[in-house]
Amino acid sequence: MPRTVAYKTQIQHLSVLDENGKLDSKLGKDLLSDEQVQQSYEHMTVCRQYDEVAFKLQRSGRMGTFPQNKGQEAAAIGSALAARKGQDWLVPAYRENAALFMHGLPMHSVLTYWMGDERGSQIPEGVKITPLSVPIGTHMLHATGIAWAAKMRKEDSVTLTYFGDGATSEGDFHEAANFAGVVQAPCIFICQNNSWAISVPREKQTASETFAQKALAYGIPTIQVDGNDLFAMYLATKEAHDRARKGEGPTFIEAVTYRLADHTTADDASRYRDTSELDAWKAKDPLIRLRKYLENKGLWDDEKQEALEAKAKAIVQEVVKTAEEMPKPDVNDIFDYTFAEIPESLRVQRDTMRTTSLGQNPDQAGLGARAAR
Amino acid sequence: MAELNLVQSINLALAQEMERDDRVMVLGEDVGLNGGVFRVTDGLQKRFGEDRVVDTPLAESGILGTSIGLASNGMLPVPESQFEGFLGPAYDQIVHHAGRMRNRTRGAVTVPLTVRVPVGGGIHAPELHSDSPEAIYSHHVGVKVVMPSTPYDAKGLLLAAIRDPDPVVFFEPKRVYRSYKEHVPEDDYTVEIGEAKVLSEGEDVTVITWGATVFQALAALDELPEDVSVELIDMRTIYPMDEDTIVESVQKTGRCVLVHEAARTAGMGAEIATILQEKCFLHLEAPVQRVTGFDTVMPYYKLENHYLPEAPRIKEAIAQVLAY
Amino acid sequence: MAGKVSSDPNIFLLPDIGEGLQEAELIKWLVKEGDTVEEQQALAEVETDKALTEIPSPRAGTIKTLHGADGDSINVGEPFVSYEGAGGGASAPEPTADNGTAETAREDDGTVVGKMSADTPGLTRQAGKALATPAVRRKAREMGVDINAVPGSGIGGRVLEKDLVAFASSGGASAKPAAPAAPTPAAAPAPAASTTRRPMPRPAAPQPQYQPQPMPQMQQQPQQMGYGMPQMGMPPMGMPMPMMMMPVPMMMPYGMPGMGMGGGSAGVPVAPGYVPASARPIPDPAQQSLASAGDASTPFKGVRKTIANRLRQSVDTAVHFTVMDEADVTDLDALRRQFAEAGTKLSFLPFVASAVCKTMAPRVGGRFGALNARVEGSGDDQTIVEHHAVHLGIATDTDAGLMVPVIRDADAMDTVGLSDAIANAANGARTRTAAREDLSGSTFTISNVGSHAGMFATPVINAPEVGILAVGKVYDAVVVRDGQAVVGKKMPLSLACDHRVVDGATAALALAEIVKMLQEPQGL
Repeated sequence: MPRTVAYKTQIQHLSVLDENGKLDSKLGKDLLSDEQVQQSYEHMTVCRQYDEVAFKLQRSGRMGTFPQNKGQEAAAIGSALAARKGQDWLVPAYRENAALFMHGLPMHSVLTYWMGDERGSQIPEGVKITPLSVPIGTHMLHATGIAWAAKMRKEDSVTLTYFGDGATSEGDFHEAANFAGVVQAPCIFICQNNSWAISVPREKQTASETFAQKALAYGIPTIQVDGNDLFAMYLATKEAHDRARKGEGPTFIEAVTYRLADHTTADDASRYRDTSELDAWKAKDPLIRLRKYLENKGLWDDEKQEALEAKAKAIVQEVVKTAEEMPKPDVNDIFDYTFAEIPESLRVQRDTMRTTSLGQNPDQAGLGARAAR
Repeated sequence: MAELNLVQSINLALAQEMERDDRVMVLGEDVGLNGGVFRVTDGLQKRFGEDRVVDTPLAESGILGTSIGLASNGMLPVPESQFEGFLGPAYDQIVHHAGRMRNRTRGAVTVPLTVRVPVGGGIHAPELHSDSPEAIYSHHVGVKVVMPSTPYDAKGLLLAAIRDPDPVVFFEPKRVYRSYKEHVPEDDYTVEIGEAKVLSEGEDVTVITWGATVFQALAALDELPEDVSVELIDMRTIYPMDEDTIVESVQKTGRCVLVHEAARTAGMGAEIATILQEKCFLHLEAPVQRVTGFDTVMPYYKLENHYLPEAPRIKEAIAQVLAY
Repeated sequence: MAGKVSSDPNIFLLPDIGEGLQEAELIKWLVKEGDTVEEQQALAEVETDKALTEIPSPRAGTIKTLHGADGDSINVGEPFVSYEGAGGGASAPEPTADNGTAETAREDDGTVVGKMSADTPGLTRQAGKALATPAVRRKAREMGVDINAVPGSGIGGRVLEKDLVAFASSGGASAKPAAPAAPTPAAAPAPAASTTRRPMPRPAAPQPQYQPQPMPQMQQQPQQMGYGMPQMGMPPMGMPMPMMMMPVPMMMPYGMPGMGMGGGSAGVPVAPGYVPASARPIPDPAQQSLASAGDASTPFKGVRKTIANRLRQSVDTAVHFTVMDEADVTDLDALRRQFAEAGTKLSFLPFVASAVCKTMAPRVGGRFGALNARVEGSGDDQTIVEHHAVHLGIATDTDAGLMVPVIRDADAMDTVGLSDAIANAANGARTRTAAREDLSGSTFTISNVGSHAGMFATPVINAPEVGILAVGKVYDAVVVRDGQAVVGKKMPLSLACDHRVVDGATAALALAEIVKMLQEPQGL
């Protein structure tokens, strides 16, 4: 008996706005309004300014290690456009700040976090975002769970989770995707393939030809998208979002983009990366093509650009000020968020840590006087 | 004989051992082309090639799991976990397989691997980049745990670890990576696993610690009055511990202060205090004092310094114990 | 923050830009001294182990000093660029965690040496059980000393090695005053039982996952972070509560047993307002209410302590009862004056001593030898031993408290001899020239310490004796002679006995005998 085909498929690649700012007339028609595009461009510009200022804050000792988001703004903003603020969940890693800001996270929070302050992760009530995730790949399982809960509670809520190409090598990714497929969780896996995991290029990360195809193993519909294309990202995410809402389960989106800066401020990409490659990708910068698109449509000019840049500078300056003018954190915070109710032994440590080598004796810390107040 | 810091001495040890023994290989995230995020493996890939210095996919479980296989089949792998906070996925492989394989097979299959892990706080790094899990791995059977505090000890202990027929977790106190230099001999030497070092001899009190807090303890000693005589011991090996040295010391001084960055509950301080209570009972002049991190998450860097057991707290503990 | 911040806002220290870097090589300056720079304008190119990069200015300002030349190696944390005066424009770097650290370090540095708890939490000295470190216990064992019998001079009544030595050399079981203790560390607090749980206030609202409290106004934040009760938000005092000590009264042999003569405890300090949980040892209410500013505190240690311990033991062991009577000493007084006129000054005491000896010494016909005894042994194995001789202890008040010098074989002396002996003994005690053997070994004790004032008393037996006679103040009183009321002198007498050994009748009769002898002084 001749061999039959057990399974066959293909991976689609989606591109709507090319690097010259030219929009595919069919796919791009009525996709985003002029206002949406202009607002997106403005937000993109502000976020780019934010990113560059953050780098300088680190270099001048005002902030700790910071992972720049430079070059990946379209992937974040395009996908976030398809999500509903306050209703859908965003479960990020750390390279999609632009999406988080659109979804209700105060802009200074991210700076606060990288300045070494846990209050940067104290997400405001009603904002459906999980904290920035430093260890790679561990948050995707949480996204699956959040989506699963929404489904069980019959909530109209979709969960978007972001991660990089490197994260797909972690076992947790496999488990998150597999679980999502089995329970048909209403979530969207957005892989920002920015070509590098610190110094490891995507060719060394996996033998798969695309990252999108990894989803096939879990029975999840998948697509590869030009990550620097705002329109394409929006379209792909919108389709995934609709599917999830209809109860058709998870979707995988590979956003092909590029990390224009170093992994973090503690890294030096020139050690392992070619400048020619970097230059080639600089030409594909999402900002450049979007500006060209707006200019071609007569919606933008140098004067508007100048005004926007000044506005962006002012906004970011204000945000930095807010972050830096936060009062010092309360030392007791080290202890008070360990449990809902602090156990006695931990309370003793908290109340005596400043006057004994380690919480040896409450009377020695003048506890009696405190209790009396 | 050069003055090297911790990064350089570990780099030297790896280079020398890879030269000496073909079976030794280094694997981990960003260890090859990039030379490691702290540059500890700098230049090794260029010298020994991509086969022996491997930039792996991003997967700690994968790195440790494949290392177990490599070690059981004739190689001497030295995998790296980029930070101690990322050991999570690898934990299963280390404690349930690397540490148990010899027993499981009654010696037929063994795992001579050495996993290198930067640990400890004090460098203002993000979350999960500042922890100290030495107690966890010491508690699990079949695994040796070491933590050198100086460049000289680091080279000696690393060579001993690579040559050890059993799995060794080699913790590197990242706070010390670049902050201290000393002469490190070029020639081949090892520091025996299971041997503590007495850094200063004394009569009044024994201070026991390891890793970056060794330097904090030294700073505390400098601030004590002239007539206070402190015996400072750097454990160097966490498991199997050098009980003889610490017991002899505390039998002499009768007082002891234990210092570690890791959280207090079930930290190695608890284990050492019990050993001292068992073996020095009739010599004790005061209860054994522990100076440790709190039973909380290590704070991000705005509050980090409140957590770390540094010279002032160590000094105070010494004073308390002497006044008992 | 990624590095130290100078306390001077005009000095920019080189930050650690790469997680644990120690220095950077200055490749070249991009500005000159005198230049005005904007915030984030690039100041210099530097190279580190990790990267080649630019350092931006943290603020706008005018460059005053560039610290270093092209090619120099600059350490992280050292001055890099200084600005003129107070820079304008964007915010200067806020005080960072490092300033907080410095403050905290100072707080930590200010801790008091010697605060370590004297007792393990919740443990005060239990009756009969000594507190001691393992090292001292081993020493006791090696020396063959019962550590529980040793009075301790350390913190909390702890037995120290020198206490063992003193105890052993003083002959053991009969409690001797130990050598005065060396000064103990001041204000060593006894701890509370810290093992009890007290319910702590919850944080402001239990939060479902991922929905924490709204980002509050920065200023209010500390209050909203779950500090439901006022004390949670307060910074701790940082200083231990000083220990209030009960003022120690004079050691009278006939005080109320137990009052102020607390046993081994060093006093349980109570911090005002600190509410003890039920499992804590309850502090002495008398001490609690008496503690107030202006109290004179005396450490309870040394000789006083030893005496206190002995008295405690005595009261705990002997079953005290007291019989009281008065002697008509009008004639005795007359006899005294006769002696005085003849050149021999005698107080009443030698006569009392003589009467006591004649009452209880067997070799002079005393019928009440039962009062001149001691109880030996312990538990089921006890014997009552009646002494052959009377070695009279004379309770004497000295600067250091009560002492009881002994007149050996007092029953062999006549009254005058007794008088001399008493005077010598008392003197020796007061001037501390008495030899140790002169301060112990009495078989019966007389105390006229209260003869300064007061009539009757309930004296505490000088263990291990079984009786003690307290002499009150001789006073002018109406006495009956030949049916007539005349002015004479009376002497109150209080005889306390150990009821385990001496029954009421014996005691009463013995006292009557003493009274009779005093009333017929020719016999003395």
